[in-house]
Amino acid sequence: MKGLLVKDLLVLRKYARTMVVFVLVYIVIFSMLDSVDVISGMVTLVLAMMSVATFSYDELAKWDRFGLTMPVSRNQVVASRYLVCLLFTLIGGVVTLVFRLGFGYFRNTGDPAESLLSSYVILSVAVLFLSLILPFLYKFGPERGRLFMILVFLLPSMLLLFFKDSVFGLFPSEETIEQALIFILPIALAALLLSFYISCRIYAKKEF
Amino acid sequence: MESILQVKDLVKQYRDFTLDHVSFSLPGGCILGFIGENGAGKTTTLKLILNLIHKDSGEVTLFGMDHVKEERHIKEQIGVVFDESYFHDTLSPKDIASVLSRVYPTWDDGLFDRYLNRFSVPKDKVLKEFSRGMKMKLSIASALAHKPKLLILDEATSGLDPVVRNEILDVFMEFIQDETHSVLLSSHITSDLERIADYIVFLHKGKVVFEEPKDDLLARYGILRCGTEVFRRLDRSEKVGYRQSQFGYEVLVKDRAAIRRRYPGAVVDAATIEDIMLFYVRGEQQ
Repeated sequence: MKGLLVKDLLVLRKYARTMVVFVLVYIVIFSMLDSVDVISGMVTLVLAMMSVATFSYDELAKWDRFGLTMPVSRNQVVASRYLVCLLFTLIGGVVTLVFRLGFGYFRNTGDPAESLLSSYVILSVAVLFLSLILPFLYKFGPERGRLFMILVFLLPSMLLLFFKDSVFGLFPSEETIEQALIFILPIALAALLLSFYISCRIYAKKEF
Repeated sequence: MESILQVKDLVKQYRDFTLDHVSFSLPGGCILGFIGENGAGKTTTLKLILNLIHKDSGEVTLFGMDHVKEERHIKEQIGVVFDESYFHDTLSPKDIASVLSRVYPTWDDGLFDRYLNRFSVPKDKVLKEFSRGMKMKLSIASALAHKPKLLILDEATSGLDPVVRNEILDVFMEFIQDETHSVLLSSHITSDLERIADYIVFLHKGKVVFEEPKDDLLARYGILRCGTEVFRRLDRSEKVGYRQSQFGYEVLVKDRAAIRRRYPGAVVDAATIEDIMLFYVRGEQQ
């Protein structure tokens, strides 16, 4: 399984360099605009997306056909892919946290506790996003899976936009939300576990 | 001798193709050649053995173990090469070594380097810049570097020039000098198989037409060239297939010595594997 992780990291090597530049540019732009929240979300998501790119690369090379001739079980293949995705998401989370803390320190704005909380939430959302998207990528492949990814983002935002007037009234108070937010990571991790299970089932049936 | 690979009644059904009760076995120290036209089921059979696709029924045992239950155990001892390289274009042979050395407990970096040197494959270049032949040689080097007991090759020599092919065939011959090693290779370059194979399995439309030692095939089969008169006298069971031309008939016969005895003066030449395959496939439309 270590070999599979190494493979994904090696394949992402070049892509990662591009992403680092991309992230740096974003950080500069948004620091100037003072919108810390936007950039935190962006960086985490960009990194989560990066792991999704491994699917495209594997498909391009038809890797799985060779990969499965190696002494690795199909579940291990899925597990290592989930690990890579989690790893990149975590890196994204840590990078944003460091950035936010640094930003708050130098500008003397924002409260570190708040930065911590929002990084925590963003990280959890990214994990939720991974849980949703990965089984689809396994089922439909990177091309159609990507389409679904856009839907995952677009639909909730659109719905929120359309019904914002009626929905906002229903929202509980800010404190209640903040308290409820503590549970978001356990929920996300549970979702990831379920998602992993589903992906394993899908991958076991695949033929190459 | 104990067989390294045993396939029994393997069935896989597709909408427009059925692999129909395929059986054969591969003893240690041998090379088994898989022949058959495109779409005969060679690749399907190999993929079923490797459990890349799931069989409908049948039994496959490798080294005496079931190919699904003991999949990981078995795969540690197999090297596989397909008709193309399935490594990512952005990787170099060095990267591939660092991946595979973590996958195979028996991986030997020195051996990998020796094969790369022998095949003159550069270690640090990325695969994007490799020719087809180089990629193939790299695939073979990576399949051998973990010291497998069985090599499975699907059309691995097609698309390569004769010099490279010869080099690779030599490597296979060396490989099976060890009695516990075997090679299963499919190819439509029948002359290659004629050179190195010990057994030939001929697949046609998803069925095994025959499984025979190559030397027997070459010693027995013949091509009879005759006129209408002799052709008419031939028994149905004697002719496998035939070709009619303006000069008479060419008939593939199973036992050329017997034909020579029965029709003294008849012209009977030895048949090549290619002849045998062609007459079997085409001859059935008679």
